[in-house]
Amino acid sequence: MKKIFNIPVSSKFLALALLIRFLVMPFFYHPDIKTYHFQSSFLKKGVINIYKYLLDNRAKLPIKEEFVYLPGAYLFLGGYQFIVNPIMGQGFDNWLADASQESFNAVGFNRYLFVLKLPYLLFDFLTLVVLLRFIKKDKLKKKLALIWLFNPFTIALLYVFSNIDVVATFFLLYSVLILRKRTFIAGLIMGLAASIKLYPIIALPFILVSLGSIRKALLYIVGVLTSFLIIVMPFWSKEFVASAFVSGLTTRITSFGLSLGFGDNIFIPIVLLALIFLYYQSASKKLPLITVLSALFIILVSAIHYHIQWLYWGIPFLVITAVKKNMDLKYLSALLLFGFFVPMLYMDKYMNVGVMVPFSSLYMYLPTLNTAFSKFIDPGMVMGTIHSIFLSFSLFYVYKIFSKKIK
Amino acid sequence: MFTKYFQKRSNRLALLLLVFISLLIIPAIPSLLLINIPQSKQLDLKYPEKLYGEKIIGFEINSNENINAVGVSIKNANLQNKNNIYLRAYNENGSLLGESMVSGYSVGDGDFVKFKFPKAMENNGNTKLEFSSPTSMGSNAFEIYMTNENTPSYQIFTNSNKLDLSYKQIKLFINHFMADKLFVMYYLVILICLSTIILL
Repeated sequence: MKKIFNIPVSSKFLALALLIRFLVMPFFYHPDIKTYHFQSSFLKKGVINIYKYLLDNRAKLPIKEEFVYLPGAYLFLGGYQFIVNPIMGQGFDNWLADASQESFNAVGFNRYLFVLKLPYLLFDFLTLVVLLRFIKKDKLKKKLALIWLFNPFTIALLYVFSNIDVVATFFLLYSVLILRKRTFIAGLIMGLAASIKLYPIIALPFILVSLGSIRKALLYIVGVLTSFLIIVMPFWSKEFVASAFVSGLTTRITSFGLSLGFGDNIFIPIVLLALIFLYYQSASKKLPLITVLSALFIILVSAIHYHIQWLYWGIPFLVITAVKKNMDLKYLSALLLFGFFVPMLYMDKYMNVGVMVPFSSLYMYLPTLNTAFSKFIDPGMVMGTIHSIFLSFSLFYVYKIFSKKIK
Repeated sequence: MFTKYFQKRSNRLALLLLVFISLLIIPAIPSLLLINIPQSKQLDLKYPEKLYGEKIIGFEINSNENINAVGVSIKNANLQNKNNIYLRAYNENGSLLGESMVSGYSVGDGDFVKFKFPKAMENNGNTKLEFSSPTSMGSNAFEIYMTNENTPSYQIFTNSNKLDLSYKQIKLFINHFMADKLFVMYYLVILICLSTIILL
């Protein structure tokens, strides 16, 4: 069997995996891809400090949101646009700047979606290549490759809701892979991940514990700071701090808590993360870092009000753990199904049929699932129930992966 | 199991057909849920006009379609006004064709609000539409966005046969997709190449 990039499946499987992705890419749309590509389009016009530029020019810009990602994301997306600009055609910048529903009818809409999602396709396959290096047995490698290539969850997250998280997650994963042999380089790559989206920093304490020595931990931190500061420092300004550091994640982690009175609170997600950390610290020799990171991300996301894209953070780690520990995939599938269903109940058209507007702009007029439920039952109650089940599944799944030994 | 299934060429062909047919059918399914179909674009939002007390904002439309909803953009500053807004439709003779009511509780500031009629109105001539909110006060009045002195920035919605609509949507989608000829050419070549690899 001829293997492409050491992916242990036949070229027919790879072709089918690619075909499915190609069929989804140009025909599903989430407005985030347009918003952050509109903001990143200013790089090719010579704007460096995008944070200040967007605030200073807010009045005259059609999309008025701040750039909430870190500079690495701006450079990555803006740089990519610079490369593909010649094949996008003249209408591309007008389409990016068109905040109305008319933009769905633009000639080239499908082309734009397809080309803008190509980097995610690259990182999707690169992630698979890295995932395979965590596993030694050929049979398990094949199982992992098939799960990764054909699971509907990552396909939907990457090619329907398309966000830049796949890039940051890839770098985090690669950093974990080379952690022990090339600690400083691993740190540099982690810094790169954190310069795109800040969330990989949550994994930092766990990574430092896994290194097992203060010298190595320091080396790793120096690596992280070096690449992070090199990328971020040119952008440092009060506008940058206000836009990029006041993230949705920070706010949401501290939204779910118990009030103790006198302005004091206990934040449940932080309690859960701290418990995972303490457990890992006491059992780090027995518990692989990959396992604890899968627990970390799935518990974190299931315990907060999350963006659907955040589900992706834990999936590569969950998949390796599931394959290595020979977990029953039914639990993992059910867990992710509940994880998908919660955001579909948000009051957001683009969390359900709205993503199909490339087929018909009329779909914008369809009610959300939330509205449909509201005719029979309180949608908040439905969402809360499903979210509670999602959290319970996460906790149960983490218990299972912590207690099961690698075969 | 999946790898064994995939070894037979006929199974691969069946799978491939399933993937392609799903792409055409799944996206057409939501069109069966469409009840209100917009028949026009919303006119430009120029300025807001207050609506309260005895004041009526009226305008005429001429449509041969069966209108079942009319949408306008409404300002409800600080979401203060919880009173009802009424939209009444009359024919040329002044007979009431339909009435729709929206509560201020569900009107956000600047929301596009749809007034749905209990059943589609059949009228072949001019239809006069009148907005009113008799219990609102001047201090917390709703404000309807106008496109000119006499006409709110409205959008009309009608209903139509669901199967016709699904067919029309698929046709529109294919026409729109095919309009980008260069992309379609490369895209189809890629799909054909991948399908060939799968089948051979």
